[in-house]
Amino acid sequence: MTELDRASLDRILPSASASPDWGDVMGRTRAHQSRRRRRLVALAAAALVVAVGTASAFGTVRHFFLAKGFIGLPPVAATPSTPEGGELVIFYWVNADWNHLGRSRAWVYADGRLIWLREKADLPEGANRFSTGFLEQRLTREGVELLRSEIISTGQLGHTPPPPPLPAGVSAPPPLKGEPIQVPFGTEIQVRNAGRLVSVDRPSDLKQLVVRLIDPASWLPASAWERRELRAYVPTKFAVCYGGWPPDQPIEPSRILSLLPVPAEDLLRAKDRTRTEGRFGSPGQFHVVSDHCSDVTSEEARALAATFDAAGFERFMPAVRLAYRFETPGPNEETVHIYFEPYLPHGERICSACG
Amino acid sequence: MIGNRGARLDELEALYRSRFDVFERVAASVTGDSERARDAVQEAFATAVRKRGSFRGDGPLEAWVWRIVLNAARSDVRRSTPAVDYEEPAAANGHPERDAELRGTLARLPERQRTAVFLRYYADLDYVAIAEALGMRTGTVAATLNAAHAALRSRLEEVRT
Repeated sequence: MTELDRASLDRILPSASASPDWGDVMGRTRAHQSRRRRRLVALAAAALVVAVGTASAFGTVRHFFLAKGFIGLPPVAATPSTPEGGELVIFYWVNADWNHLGRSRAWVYADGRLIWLREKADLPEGANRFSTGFLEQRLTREGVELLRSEIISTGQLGHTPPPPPLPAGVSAPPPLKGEPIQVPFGTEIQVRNAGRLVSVDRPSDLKQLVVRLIDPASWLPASAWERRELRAYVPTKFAVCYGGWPPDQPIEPSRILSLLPVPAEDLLRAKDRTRTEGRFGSPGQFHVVSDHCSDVTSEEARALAATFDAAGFERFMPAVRLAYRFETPGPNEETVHIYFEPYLPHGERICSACG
Repeated sequence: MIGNRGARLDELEALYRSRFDVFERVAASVTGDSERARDAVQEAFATAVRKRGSFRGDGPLEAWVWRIVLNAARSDVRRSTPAVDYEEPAAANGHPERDAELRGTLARLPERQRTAVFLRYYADLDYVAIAEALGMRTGTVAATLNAAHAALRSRLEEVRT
């Protein structure tokens, strides 16, 4: 007999030295985070000293432009696109699947920046074969005007009311030869006209216009370009968005935050958040999904991503966006998803996984 | 299972409050000292709070925490004097001589065997949870406990003859 019963073991073990103190546990947690933050600040300060020292040695601050697109967050020293803000004069989101070019979005600013994102474009400057990531070129003032004129000259602007919806089961008649066609679902072309962005509803030759918009470098003259070579668009801020899945079981944002690692929870609780609603599916079968987003700096975004990686959250859709997901505790089959999106110069948060 | 289940803060707090004594006393069997054991438990729970998102949920939460607690206790031992014995309780009721024999023989077991004994017979963990807590296969738990029983039986007989 070895007398391994609980009573015997209870007698021979030292008694507990003190009562439980959960406050002390939380204090240690915060102290650890604070030490970690101080270490990061010290490292950042050291890096800054080195960077400034190096820049001084060369007599100027050196820029670090990325010659290749990226998905998610830029490298630490990447130079953000300047100026931070910009007036949007053209936006288009077109589909050239018939040409195996996939979907392409572009934003053109009054300062000449042409920022674009294309799927299925296997470019050497692209992030990967599924997405280029956000790329940037710079047009001259003349280039912006040429692009704008090309769009305006080929279509009717959004002053014409759209045709009434067709009855269920009735297909639209094929357009007569030479007659403008209605821009299909999933395509948007907008230009600034008379001080506001208006949609092009009925371009005379949509296919030709789409081909030209997808690759402006193929037809714009050299004088249209201030910088034709591609570089990555580096934002100055990001949104971190989170929500639950499936969409018919929304998860309260405060509950989602309570499921995150403490540093991420603390950072996001201290931020304002906005509710955002999106649709997925196809016409007639749309599902509405609502998420919550907070704005973060690049440094904060990197710290959050590092925390999620350390927590072992699963990355998903890595080819098109930086996103994580994990299952919630409990019997409900719910998944929390968290994703990062860049802001463009006109202040819009862009869905990078939307094609 | 898609990704991690994660541990909720309130779950951890409830576990801490309901099982603090057990965690501290078993940790003391590793550190040899109640104060150091308490510190290891506090640090371990702070670690569990920070890393709660990495709890995969494919075993009991308590087993996951036990692993962190035992690692913290072992780290404490590595940083300071190795524990060769654990302190005597302030008051030993029941069978003082037999308890002293048992304490002495348990103290001479390899640490993993001794910890397995406390987890099974004092903390009342099942084999699956012990396996998770000690980072071993479930089958190895039975073998470890059998070895501990055999060693205890042999040593207790030596003491009594």
